[in-house]
Amino acid sequence: MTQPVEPISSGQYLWVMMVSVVAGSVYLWPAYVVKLTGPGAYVSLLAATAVAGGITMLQVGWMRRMAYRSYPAAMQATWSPWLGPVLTWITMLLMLALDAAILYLYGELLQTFFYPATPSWVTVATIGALAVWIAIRSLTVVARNVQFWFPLLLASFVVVLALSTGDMRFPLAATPKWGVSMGSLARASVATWFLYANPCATAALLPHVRPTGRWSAGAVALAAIALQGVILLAILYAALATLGPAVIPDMTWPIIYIFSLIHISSFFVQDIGMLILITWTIAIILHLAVHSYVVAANVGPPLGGHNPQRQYLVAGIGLAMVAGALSVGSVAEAKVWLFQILTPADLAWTVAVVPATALMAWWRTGRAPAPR
Amino acid sequence: MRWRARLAAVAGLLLSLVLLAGCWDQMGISDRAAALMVSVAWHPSGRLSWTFFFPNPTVTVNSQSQIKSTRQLYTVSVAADSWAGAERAAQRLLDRHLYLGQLKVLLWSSDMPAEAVATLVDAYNRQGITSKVAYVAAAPARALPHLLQASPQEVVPRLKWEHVFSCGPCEAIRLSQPLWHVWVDVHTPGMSPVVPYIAASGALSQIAVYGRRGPPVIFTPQQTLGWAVLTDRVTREVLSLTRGGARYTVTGVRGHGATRVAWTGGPIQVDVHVAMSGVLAQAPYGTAGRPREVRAIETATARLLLADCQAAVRRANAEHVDPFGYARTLLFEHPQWARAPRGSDWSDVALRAGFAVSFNLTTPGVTS
Repeated sequence: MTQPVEPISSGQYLWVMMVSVVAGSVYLWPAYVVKLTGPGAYVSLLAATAVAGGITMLQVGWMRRMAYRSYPAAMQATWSPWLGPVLTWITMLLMLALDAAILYLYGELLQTFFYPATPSWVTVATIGALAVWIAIRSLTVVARNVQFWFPLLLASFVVVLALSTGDMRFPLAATPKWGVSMGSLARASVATWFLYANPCATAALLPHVRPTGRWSAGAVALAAIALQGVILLAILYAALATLGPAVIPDMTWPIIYIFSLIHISSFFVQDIGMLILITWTIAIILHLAVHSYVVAANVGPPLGGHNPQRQYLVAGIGLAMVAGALSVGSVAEAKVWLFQILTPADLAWTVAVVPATALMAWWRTGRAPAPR
Repeated sequence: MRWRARLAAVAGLLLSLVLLAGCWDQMGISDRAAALMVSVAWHPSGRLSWTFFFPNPTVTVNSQSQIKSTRQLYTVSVAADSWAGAERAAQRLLDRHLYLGQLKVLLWSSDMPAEAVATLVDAYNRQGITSKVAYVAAAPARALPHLLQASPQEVVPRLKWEHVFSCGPCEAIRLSQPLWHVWVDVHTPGMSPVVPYIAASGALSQIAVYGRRGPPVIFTPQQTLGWAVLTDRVTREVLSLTRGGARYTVTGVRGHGATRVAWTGGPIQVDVHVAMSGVLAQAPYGTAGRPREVRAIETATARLLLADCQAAVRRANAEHVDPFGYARTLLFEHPQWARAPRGSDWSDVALRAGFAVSFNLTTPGVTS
């Protein structure tokens, strides 16, 4: 019998939830969505955020029905001892593929903007290794790392974004436009999903949140989605106002371009916008660490105590992510995989499985929710 | 055993620090040739002449006063048909690694056609490592060499043109254009890219406007002032006018316009209300304090600016360019109009403009 998992506070849960979505993949936003809908991108962002919020609420409701047992146990109790793990495995594999594409593209970004002579496998493998290094520890260590770093990252991001307001030439281009065709809007909303995709972290970590504090864990998870939505909104505005809707679709990494334009006339530091390089590298490490932790918790041995088996599993997950990232041939290929194959697949899978799971649990447990 | 695990963890962390810092790109400052300026002279054959300007590495804080301004920069000149070709050719003449991350100024000859400028800006902007905030300008090809010589006013790594373009109080009208503005303007429909034009004498009071193809349209100083009034770029202009045989000078001319753009087919209808202000700096002795006189000068100055605005729009219409970006404003408001009328690209649609210029004059000073 393993020891019980030391629970995390609801504040830590908020930071972990925030880092499990958006943080790792935000650097790719919003080129593809502007390509599909131009200045109507706001609507697709709202749609994707609403879907993410709905999925989060369903997961919270489902966990309540399942009396806050662990995610694998809840899946088995909802479906069956063999179907539960199969569904979980498919969800986790989709997530790993998405993370691999995101990691690859980040490696290419570093090489394009900062390290032209450094092979991209070096940065990809190092980021993967650091993520594993955090994820092999206990939940409280992961949460404390996120709790320490993420507010700092957020603060530096806000500073850099504030500095870039001087470059915003086209406020007119950034005002929301609503006359967008439904077809392109739907495709754009689908293409925004990769930001919110996470390996059911909401449900997987919910049983380990201390049930104290003013806010319920469900409200905290929703707040995390909403806060990330606000950040995405700010980024979308900054991108449209700085570059206009005409050139963004042709860029792979519009935001890093915008931040590279920030220039202050001081002797030692001029390109202060490059602070974002440190911020995003830490953000993607934490993002992958939380994902690896949750994937290992969902498919592996029960959490709690010192468990070498779980550590090997996390290392294997990290290795799979890095290997997946290194097997991608080119940026164009990675973008097709990410935007046109994996993201729609993950969205379709999530909106099918999560509501089905909630319905199934409701049907099995009857009307009375289990007490906490 | 525990200390061994700790040692391994520390070693792993140090290794990751080293690897994530991108060691392969680590290069001493003395091994890099950081180009500060590049000039590109057009040639109809497509084989352009490129000159890269580098700071002389012997210029240090101690040697600054001894080194002549003509020795502060050294140049490498090559002929090539593309950026990549020019970089390779320049690298062959250098013993250090060519680096464009610190580029401050990019000058091209004013005979370079719009297509070639777009290609040049694209190729430069495409590279991740280049500085996108470098200032760009056009100048006559024959004047390029002497315009870019180091000026005794500055000591490298500061450059005269960089300082001119980044010094707010130095410019009466804001003409400076960072490269990324031009790149965005080239690819945004409804805008003719504008770059400052440096005359052969070194004077900076004109703009070069790039149409759809061919060499740029060089606005006269008067048309440039009109363009600057209409695009809110006048910050501290000085105007002289003669009234009843007496000379008046108005300084600190500045202001902003409220623009309304509409289109229902045909020309683009533009309505601009410009509110400008200035300071009466010179007037015949004893006349400046009279309210009637002040009002008369206000009217005369407003008329002067109005004529400049009209001249700018007339020239734009005659040359089928839109350096104001009115069509772009229209497209930002109505993105569904992405299809331009009659095969044009929006920037060549004629403008029908109505102006109202008001001028507010203040008369500070020790005498009236």
